[in-house]
Amino acid sequence: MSGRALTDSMPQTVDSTATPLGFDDAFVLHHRAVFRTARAVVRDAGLAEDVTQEVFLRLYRNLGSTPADELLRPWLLRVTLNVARNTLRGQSRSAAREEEFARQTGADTDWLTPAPEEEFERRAKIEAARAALEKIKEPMRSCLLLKQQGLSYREIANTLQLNETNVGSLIARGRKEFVRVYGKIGASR
Amino acid sequence: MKECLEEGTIQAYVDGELSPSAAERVATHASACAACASLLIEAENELALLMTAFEPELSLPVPSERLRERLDAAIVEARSPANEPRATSSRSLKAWLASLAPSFNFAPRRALGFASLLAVIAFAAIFALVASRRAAQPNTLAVVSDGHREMNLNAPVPGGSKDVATQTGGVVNIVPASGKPLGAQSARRTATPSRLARGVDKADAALVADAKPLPGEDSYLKTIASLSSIVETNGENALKPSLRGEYERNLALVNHAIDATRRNARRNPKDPDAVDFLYSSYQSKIDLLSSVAEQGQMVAVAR
Repeated sequence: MSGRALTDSMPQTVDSTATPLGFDDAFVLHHRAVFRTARAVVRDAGLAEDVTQEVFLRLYRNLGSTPADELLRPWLLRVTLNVARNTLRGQSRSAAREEEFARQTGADTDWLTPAPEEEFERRAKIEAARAALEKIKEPMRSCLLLKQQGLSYREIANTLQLNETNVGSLIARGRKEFVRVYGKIGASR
Repeated sequence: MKECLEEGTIQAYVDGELSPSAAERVATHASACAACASLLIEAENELALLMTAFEPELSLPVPSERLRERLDAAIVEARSPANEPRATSSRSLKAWLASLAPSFNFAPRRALGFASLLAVIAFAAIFALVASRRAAQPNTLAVVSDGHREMNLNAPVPGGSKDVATQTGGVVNIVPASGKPLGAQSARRTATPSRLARGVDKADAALVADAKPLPGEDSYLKTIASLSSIVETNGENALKPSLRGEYERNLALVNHAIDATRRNARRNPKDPDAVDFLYSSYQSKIDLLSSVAEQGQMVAVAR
């Protein structure tokens, strides 16, 4: 991020030349981590887009009070996890049924077009990893998830409001559990 | 032999999270301890499996361009006058709030403290405003001593209610379109001071209930309503009893500030300071509720 911290000045237009530099920087730097984290939680690319939009809108609305620099990414991902979980809670029963159908068929709502065999295999691998991750209890699951996004222990601790000294053992326990569950899922396929 | 390595230390070692000296101690110990060396190899292998398992997920594309376009469109919508209640906020107030940002980290205890500070400042501002208006009151009384002046609160709203607010001295009453004053206000010209004071309370209540919301006020109220429902669902239970007490005190304080600033803003809808104070009070409540709601979600997740 540039040296200029997030400012409280409100852009007059959405033109990138007029928006605060900090906001644009924040989007460029962190939207991938936000989107991927959201997608890992909601397991749907469209919903993950909604979540990402909401997260950056909240950043935009709170430009004057959001943490800057190294604390910004944990703030964004904390909001992402909250918004994504709220999105999941708000899902209707029909959405839940669709998700269950997608899980059973090995398909994913990320893709709507038929795929070749190689692509099908890739989807199956993604689904197996997601299913295994879903079996892990919190906060180990979120620790693993955030570690996959490249966060340091300090950032993970900040995001999940944990003591940094506990992050290593939480990841270790999550890792062991993941390997155990993932092995079972792999064996059953 | 030194004590064997904890699983967290081994994990931090393979994740490259240890300091150079700590990493060296781990390596030295593992070279002399077969059990820990085995655990290290296991951790490395499992980490490799984890990376392999998530590689397909991480290699999925991120629709950066579409995300940016959607966000820009959403910002335009959020910036439309109806959704931008703070567009008229004073720059100095925002700059002052921004200067506090570095100390604000969303931890519930600090957020509650922050809300207390905001509430106290809001009170100070309200009292300063009220004091300045009282100082100016004799002039107003001189102007209206031989009658009353009328102020149509609803003039800017086409097709809105035709009720007219009348102000006599410091008293604001609502007069319906029929011209007949409401209830106790009919005696305003001959009212004794005590009756006048009662009239103020009733008139204030009527004013708050009847007056049209200020521009942008709706979005604050909606946000507060939705946050309140979230907090009622799981937020309050997440707080420790001591924090919950503090939260309730702060909430009462903020609510009181909102009542006071709202009365003032409704009386003086054209006064940007009065409206700013009201919006600041709303924002204080939103900040307080947000912090508690967020804490509730975090705890709910951790369970």
